[in-house]
Amino acid sequence: MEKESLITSLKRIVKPYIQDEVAFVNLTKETDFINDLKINSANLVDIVLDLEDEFDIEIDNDAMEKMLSVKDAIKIIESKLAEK
Amino acid sequence: MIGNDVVDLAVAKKQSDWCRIGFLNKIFTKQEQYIINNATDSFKAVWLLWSMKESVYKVYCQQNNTRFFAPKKFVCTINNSQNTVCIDGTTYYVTSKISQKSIHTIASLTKEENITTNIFMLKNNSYTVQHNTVYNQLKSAISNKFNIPFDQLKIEKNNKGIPFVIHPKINSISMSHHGYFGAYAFS
Repeated sequence: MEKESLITSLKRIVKPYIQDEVAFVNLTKETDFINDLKINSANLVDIVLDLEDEFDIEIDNDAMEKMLSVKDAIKIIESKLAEK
Repeated sequence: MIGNDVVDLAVAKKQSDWCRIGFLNKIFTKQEQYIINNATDSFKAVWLLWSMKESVYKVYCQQNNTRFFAPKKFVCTINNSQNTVCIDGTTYYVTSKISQKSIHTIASLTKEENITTNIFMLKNNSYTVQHNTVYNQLKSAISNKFNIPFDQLKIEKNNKGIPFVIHPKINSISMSHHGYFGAYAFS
């Protein structure tokens, strides 16, 4: 999958949980889910579950542990897709 | 070293569906899920355990200058005399206040820490109001307790986003907000 369309899907998935519109509009690979988008940490679990559904992958606890930014999420999705 | 976490129960109800398939299993151990499923109020049990994990996470991150997302690694034990959370072989002490509207948990590395803490209502639930009110409340509490001029106090954040105050009398600080509630703790 192209990186651009991955970011588009990711943006659609995180949108319901963000609390900082400006950071969301200016989202880059470096954007941090909690520090920049102000996502509530309990909602990170929802994002993980949504990503699992969207891409039909399993994000195990070891992978979830590192999922703090857009860049981290892309890396995890790509590696889980490659394993399929 | 201390940490604290507040949950606005009305907001938690709207923000997260703890009954969602897979949700509990990503956060809670088998034993914790057993506690939740057998609690008279499962909803409150979810957020009590969550705030225990979050408050200890804040202590752990200060100790190790790190950030990660692994709620299941923080193993909660509910005990009538003292609730605890264990991670990496270290046990942390937690105390929670549960009201109709909120849950506030304070975590510490040792039982002997001299902790000052407070939970309060916020004017509204916008992020800016939450953030600024908690900062100012913490600063004025430190200022009052140690007789330090308010304007001389500066809450800073390190490269991992962990807040601190440089002052010989302050060992550790922690701030939390959720919905219409704010809280702080310092030692």
